[in-house]
Amino acid sequence: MRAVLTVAALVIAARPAAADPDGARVFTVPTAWLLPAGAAGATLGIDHRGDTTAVASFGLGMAEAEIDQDTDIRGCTDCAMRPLPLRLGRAAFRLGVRQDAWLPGMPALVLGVRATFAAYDPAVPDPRASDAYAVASRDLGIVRLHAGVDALSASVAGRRAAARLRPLAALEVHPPMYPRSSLLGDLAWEPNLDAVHGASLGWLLGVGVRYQAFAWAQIELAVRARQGEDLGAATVMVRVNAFTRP
Amino acid sequence: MKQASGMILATVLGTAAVARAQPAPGGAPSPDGKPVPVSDAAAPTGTPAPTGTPTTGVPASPYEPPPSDPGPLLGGQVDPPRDGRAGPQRRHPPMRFPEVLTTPTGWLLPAGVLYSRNAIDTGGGVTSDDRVGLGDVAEFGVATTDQVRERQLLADKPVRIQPYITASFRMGVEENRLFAGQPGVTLGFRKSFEREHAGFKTRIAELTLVASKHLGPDAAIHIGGTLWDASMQATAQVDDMPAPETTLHGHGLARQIRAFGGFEARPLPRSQILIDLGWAPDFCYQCTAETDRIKLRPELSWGVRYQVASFMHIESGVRVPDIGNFNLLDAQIFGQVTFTSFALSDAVETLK
Repeated sequence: MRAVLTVAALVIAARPAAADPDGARVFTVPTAWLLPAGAAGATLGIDHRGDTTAVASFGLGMAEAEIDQDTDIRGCTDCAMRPLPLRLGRAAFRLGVRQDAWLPGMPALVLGVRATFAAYDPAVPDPRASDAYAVASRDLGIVRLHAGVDALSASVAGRRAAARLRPLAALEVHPPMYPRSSLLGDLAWEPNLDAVHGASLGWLLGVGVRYQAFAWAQIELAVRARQGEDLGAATVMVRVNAFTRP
Repeated sequence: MKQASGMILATVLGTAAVARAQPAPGGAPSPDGKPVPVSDAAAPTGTPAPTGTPTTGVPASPYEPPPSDPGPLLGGQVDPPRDGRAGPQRRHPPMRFPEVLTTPTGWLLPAGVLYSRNAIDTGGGVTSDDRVGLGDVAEFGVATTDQVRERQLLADKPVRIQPYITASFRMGVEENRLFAGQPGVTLGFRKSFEREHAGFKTRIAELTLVASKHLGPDAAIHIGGTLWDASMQATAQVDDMPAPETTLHGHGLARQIRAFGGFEARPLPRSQILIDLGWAPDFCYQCTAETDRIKLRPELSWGVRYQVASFMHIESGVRVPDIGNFNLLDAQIFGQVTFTSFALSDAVETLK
């Protein structure tokens, strides 16, 4: 209770932000920050296994459209072996309000839906994953908080799993002595697609740093670990984000 | 003779005076006295046009300052004249979109306006919708739709039939034209060409009546009713006779009539939030129950329309094809680009 009151006091005491920060996701967790109208964003990433990520997004005012190709979802036909990353093409639509839009101290809020439109050389037949989430983000100066709930649904080989709710949580720390650097951590859930037994959900934890190289570009370095995988299977990734202004 | 000439002169002058008192075709009064409609592409920043300013083919009053239009690159709608000999600037009437996201509105395209909307979605749908406004009272269009779906058995996952080509004609009365507070009303008819797919010939037709009303300058509501019909027939012959045809109208009017509606709001000058609920036919080829063979399924869409330029809008959002049997995996993210052009309208005005 005390912790909740503390966070509430911090939120109310926080100065109104001039504009929402950039970035539609921490590492995996979506944020409630929306691109300004007419702005565009791009992300390119690769991990130490060579799995790549590419995201392009466009700001529509109070919404954002996003198209991406990522390997966050894992699949397996023989799940005694380590599941393989599935390279999926996905699109997302995010609709929301910026922080302080309705009330001073209110967080930014976003309702997002993401759907699969393509699978490239999948290790499992007919993989699909969709999720709908509501997330709140607030910039408190030194820290930025993100919290939400995600409804995830997936299918593999024609087996559909009903949508299940999971929490989303992320924290960004911006030490004042390092104005260009931030420490990030997030916790999300992603589907694991078992071609024999169907889809299940597993957590995905990310910890890393972000360096604001330019006003329009950031570079991130992170380690991500998954439920059901030992520490040695954790991936190290590097990612570059760039944004344009209208 | 002299008396007759006087009467003719008086008649001509009287007619001219009456004609002069008519509002310009495109210069419809705003719905609520505020001049910026929700889909007004001509005023992207929400800056109201001067009340009573002529909008179509009528020179601006010499007693009013000329409208300061910065040109299309800066969000305006017309290029500045290239030389001093160019005539007075022609101001375009407000652009009100004929569709929310998937359902028709009670608004029509202005006369001579060309409209083209091209869309893709994550379900693999690719559609195009091209229309032209006819005399401010009607609209003709040809489109491909991906809303019609098929399945073999009731338990199967439906897949879309595309391209499914339709032609449409809509006619109506613009908002506040007949009396103050009157909603925009259109009566529309859409009919498909016969489509042969998976061993079946299918057709659809839809009659819609819809009313649209502004709720202030930045919001509008659309409510309508639709009468659907559809037919399907196996292409294989039975005993050298055509296979029997199954129709939607063969199972009563209650299966054909549906209500639909939409809402739009503009919280930012260039961005609108859109929500609508419509219906689309679903063919089940091997269903045993006759009533299951053609069904109307509700479709919910929500999204945002963003005005990139006066002639170009981007729309994106989410569409759930069968909201009555909601499954998150069926949700589709769509993106579409809409172009509008007054070129034909301007050319016609020039010829006049």
